[in-house]
Amino acid sequence: MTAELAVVALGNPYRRDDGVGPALVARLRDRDLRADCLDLGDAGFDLVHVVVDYEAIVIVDAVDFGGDPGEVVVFDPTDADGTRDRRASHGTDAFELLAMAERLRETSPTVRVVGIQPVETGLGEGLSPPVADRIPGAIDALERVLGGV
Amino acid sequence: MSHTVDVEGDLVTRVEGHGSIVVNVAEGDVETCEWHVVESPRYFESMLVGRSFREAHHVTSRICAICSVSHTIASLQATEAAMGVAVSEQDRRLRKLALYGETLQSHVLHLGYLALPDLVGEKSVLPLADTHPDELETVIDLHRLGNELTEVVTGRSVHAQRLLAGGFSQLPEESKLEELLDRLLNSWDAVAELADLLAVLADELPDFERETEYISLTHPEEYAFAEGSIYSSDVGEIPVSDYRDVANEYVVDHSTAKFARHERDSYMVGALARFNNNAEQLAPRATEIADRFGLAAPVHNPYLNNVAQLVEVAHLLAESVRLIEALLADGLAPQSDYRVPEIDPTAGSGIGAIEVPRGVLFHEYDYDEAGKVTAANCVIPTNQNHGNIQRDMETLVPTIVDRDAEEIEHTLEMLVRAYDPCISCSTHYLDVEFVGEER
Repeated sequence: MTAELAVVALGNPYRRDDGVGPALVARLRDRDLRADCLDLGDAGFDLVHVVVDYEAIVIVDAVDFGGDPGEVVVFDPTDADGTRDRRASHGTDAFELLAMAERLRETSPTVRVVGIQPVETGLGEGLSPPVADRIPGAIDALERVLGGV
Repeated sequence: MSHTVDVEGDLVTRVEGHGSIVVNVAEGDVETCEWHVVESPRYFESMLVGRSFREAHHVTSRICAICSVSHTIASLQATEAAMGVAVSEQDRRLRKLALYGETLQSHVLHLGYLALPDLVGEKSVLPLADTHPDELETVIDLHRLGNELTEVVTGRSVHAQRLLAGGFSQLPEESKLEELLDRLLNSWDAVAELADLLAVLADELPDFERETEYISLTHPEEYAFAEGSIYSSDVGEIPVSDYRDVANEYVVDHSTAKFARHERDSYMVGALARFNNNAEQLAPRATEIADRFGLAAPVHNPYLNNVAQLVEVAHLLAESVRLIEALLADGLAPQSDYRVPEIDPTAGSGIGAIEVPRGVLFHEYDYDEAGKVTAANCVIPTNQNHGNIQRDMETLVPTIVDRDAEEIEHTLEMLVRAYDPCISCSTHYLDVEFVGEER
């Protein structure tokens, strides 16, 4: 185990706002956090390894929850079960992997998602202006979550 | 009894590629039986043109995230052959170790996450957390071990940064190699658990045989992965310089991906081809597993590629132990971090040929005097297997056509999946739709 707490960025920076997670975590690397910052790209089975390793995980990802462009939402992924419109915006279902990994542990880790409502997730680089503008607010939300888990 | 079956495969759009099966049977006669592969053009060979020899392997690494180290090493071999660059024995060992780590993780990923659900009657690996939690933990541990092996040697588990033409930019710490050695030595129980599980489920693998040509690398001193010459089960040893005469790529109407053939209509590459050609050179622990499953070369059942992968998991573990022990015994020759081996670029051509998880991989580059690529050719294993999947289907379908649609679908899906085609993200590879079925 490397630390008790991990911030995990999910998303593909070559699909515009889908890359908001990695973009946000890149800004955190210089900060003195009590968490490991991990960029897992499109979530694969590496996510399972992280869930097995850490006591608490905060996922930062583009989440299409029907909010305003760039709006930030914080939630427990178990609350999102069956709510497809709160799923992450890329293909792999990170929440199913999370659920699988949690079932393999004797005690479930604390998992929170800081989701940012994307605008554009087609091929291309760079965040849309509404999403880019909300990154400072998303970082504030993330730091509040880190203080509470 | 008359049978009319239409199997119209929908495309599955996943990162590694698209594939579908089309089978039409009228009055019991198979009218159409085709393996459709509709790969989007990747343009990697064109992207390489004009690139420096310092960049080529970083570009080709991106051909595949599962086999990125494999493409990197094949690329470096091609560059080094073109420019006459020698690699030290230490660096050859380290490259091998990275390749073994990647192949280990790829095999375990395929066996545990993709093939195993077929055998236990599930659509994906996720339900196994409830039905087979201990075995799933074993799969996760072994998969992770393969990734970490690659990461310790190359700096990253995907898209290695330390591998350079002529050597390494940075060497692994010996303490990390020692930790890995302990973990490898403590992983034999995990391999045994995986073997136990597959032994229980092996009866689920269809009993289908079709002899074909098996092509792999071969090496006089070891079970070939990182170096060797080409070996065909039909004609024997072939120099790597003749690889284009082996992988005669051709185009079929129903696929945008090229098929390949050599002495017959098709040939097979991958774990089973390696096993058939080189089984006598397996590590003793790998041979024990082969014996347990009754796997004796030559094996003509493509479904047993899964078992051959398990055998290779044991071999890779044993060989990784041997390599690390040798590296530690000799001690790593010190070098500065961020070293870039000195190379004076020269014009020339070179070929890289290595065994990667899904079979033999070839990279060939032409360089100009400035060390820029003027032409490139990459022949990947999955392309070499497409023709063999097609011929297997043509042989298999008439023997199962009287079964119900779901069973035909499942049997054909398992066949495709047995080849471990490079569509690794897709646990349910083929979304087959049956239309207009009359029985």
